Amino acid sequence: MKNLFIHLVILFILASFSHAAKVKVESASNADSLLNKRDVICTVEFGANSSTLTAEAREVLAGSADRLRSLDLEKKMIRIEGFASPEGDRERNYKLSIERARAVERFLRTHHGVSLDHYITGFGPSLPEEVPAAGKRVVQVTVYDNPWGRADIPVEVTGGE
Amino acid sequence: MKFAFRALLATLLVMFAFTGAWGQPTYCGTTGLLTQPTAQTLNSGNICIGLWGDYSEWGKTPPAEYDATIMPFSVTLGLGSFLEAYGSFPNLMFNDEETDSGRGYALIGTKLRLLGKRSSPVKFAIEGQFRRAVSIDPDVDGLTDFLGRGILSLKIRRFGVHGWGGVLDKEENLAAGIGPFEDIVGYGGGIEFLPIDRLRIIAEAEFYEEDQPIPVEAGEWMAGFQYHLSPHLTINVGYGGPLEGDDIGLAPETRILVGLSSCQGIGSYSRVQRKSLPEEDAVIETKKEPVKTLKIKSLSPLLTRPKQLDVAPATMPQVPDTGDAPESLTDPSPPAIPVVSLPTLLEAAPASTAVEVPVEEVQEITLDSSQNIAKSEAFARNFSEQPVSPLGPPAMGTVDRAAVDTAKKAKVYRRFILPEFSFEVDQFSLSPEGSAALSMIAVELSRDNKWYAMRIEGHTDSTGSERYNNELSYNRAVEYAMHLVAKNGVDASRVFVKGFGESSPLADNNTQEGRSQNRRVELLVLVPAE
Repeated sequence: MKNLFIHLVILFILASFSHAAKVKVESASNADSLLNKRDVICTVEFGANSSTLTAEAREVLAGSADRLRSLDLEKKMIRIEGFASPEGDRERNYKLSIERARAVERFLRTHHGVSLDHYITGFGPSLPEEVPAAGKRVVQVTVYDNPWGRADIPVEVTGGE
Repeated sequence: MKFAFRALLATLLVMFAFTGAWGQPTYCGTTGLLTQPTAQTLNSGNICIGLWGDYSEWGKTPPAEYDATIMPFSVTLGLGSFLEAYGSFPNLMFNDEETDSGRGYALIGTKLRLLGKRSSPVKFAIEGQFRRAVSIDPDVDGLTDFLGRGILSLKIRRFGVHGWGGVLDKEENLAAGIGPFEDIVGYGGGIEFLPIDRLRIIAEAEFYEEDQPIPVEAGEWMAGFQYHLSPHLTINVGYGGPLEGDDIGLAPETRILVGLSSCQGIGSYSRVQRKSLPEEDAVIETKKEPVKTLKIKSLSPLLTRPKQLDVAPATMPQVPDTGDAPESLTDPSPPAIPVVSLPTLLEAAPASTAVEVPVEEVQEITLDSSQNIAKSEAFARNFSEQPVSPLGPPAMGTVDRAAVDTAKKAKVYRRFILPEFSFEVDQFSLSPEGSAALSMIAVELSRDNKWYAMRIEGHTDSTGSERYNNELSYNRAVEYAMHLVAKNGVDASRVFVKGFGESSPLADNNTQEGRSQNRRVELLVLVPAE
């Protein structure tokens, strides 16, 4: 009786592993054409495990602020993209990457009058090869063709309940 | 899935082949220590069922005839953000062996989390459990014991530890004039470790000390794992033995538990999504899909300003190249990696067909706030329908720099403004209901390869300074983005996070109700326009 059960248990474990292996293959993915039209305005570096802007970073951002302000947001979209190095916990790194992007966003908005009309994102540590910043402790301020076809702000309020 | 079914059948066959004899019940119950809980409670609206095989071997004293095989069945319901109720029946095989393998309890109980939110590392819960003995022994059959206990758990990232203490009140002792709450003290604890998202490794130990009528001690340990075969199907395997009381027949020499459990509602882990762009013809195909029931409200500036969108093909303003832009990325032809399709993703998701929308229509999805949306069934059922006219060409032609036409304009495919996505004043943490709804949306989108971008937009009411609200709105949106990417495997490169501050209210900020509506996060799912 006991032997039968042990065999069953082993069977389940084996099945589980083969299942896990299958899922790994699935995560292979196509390159995202979203990233093809990506122009990097500037790259800002961070210290390990830090999302605080260095003096150098502030200087770089200040140098790009004029250009960001003068972009025609009907046609272009600003996206501030955070990255993290691959060491350590994946979730923590994702958080770090988006916190870095936020720090850059906050600085541009509060110190250099760049409007709210931009997006941020955190890539975490890993990304397909087409983004060279992946796996580094940086934020890149990037510009894409505006995919939404419109500026988001100003907004007029209509509709509702 | 097929395999799981076959395995279940095999388990059933093997177990029905056993017969057994009379023995001594143990304290630890029929589903053993593998189901010993932390202070976490099941998410609201979720239901978990488990079917177990429980085999115990009793060694020399008491004799080996006590060996038994039973099939317990358990159900757990998430009733609210901090309350769960559960029940179990000791033996679906009805071979009268339940008292041999483990105590033949039919359980009914409830757990209330008093301290700690869902994402908090430290949680405390109290649990009350009635255990009605099901036995062929007429002295024990039908007696109802009560277990009351407090559970404290600590979980840091992938490692958790928990402990509990309480009293077990036995009706047979009560009848003999002992107690209440004086007869048996129970305590126990365990550790859990999640090396990967799908796998949880558990070790538990549990003791009971009985002072009256005669001092008795019993204790069992069990180690095992729970592995998610799919987000809605978990295999549980455990192996255990005695710590105390095996010589007097209160703990078996060996116990093996094999169980399949399924949680409907939200899976506790989600598959990572692939992030290929949808094929054009795939999009066209879906136009034939029937429109499911939806309640549509006109809320969006996207719908009210179509004129803005009617723009002739635009020449792109040059993005000047500067020295500090070393990493320009304009390669139009990324290496083609074959698309691997995701088979049978989340077959069991109950709400999976809830919000299918034809692609050519721009729609908003708003749930009626009177409903408890976290209940996934309700989520699926309670939309009502109202067609919305297509927005017309929402995106204009575009001149791609590159020869390859990879430029995509987007239009809103789905828009989620759910009551769960609303916030208390000055709050940005994700509610359990919001987290459940997010997971459901992620699951839904992963089934549906049409979309290619997701905008996560935070909003505030007009209370407070503009600058503060800008921050708060970003806090809200980032919280959601983190959950979708880190917990639900949404592809980060497709996520666009933005804080609108107070600039885009849905309703009148002069009323409390209006302000409450304005404190929200919106999810916009976008597809290529052409």
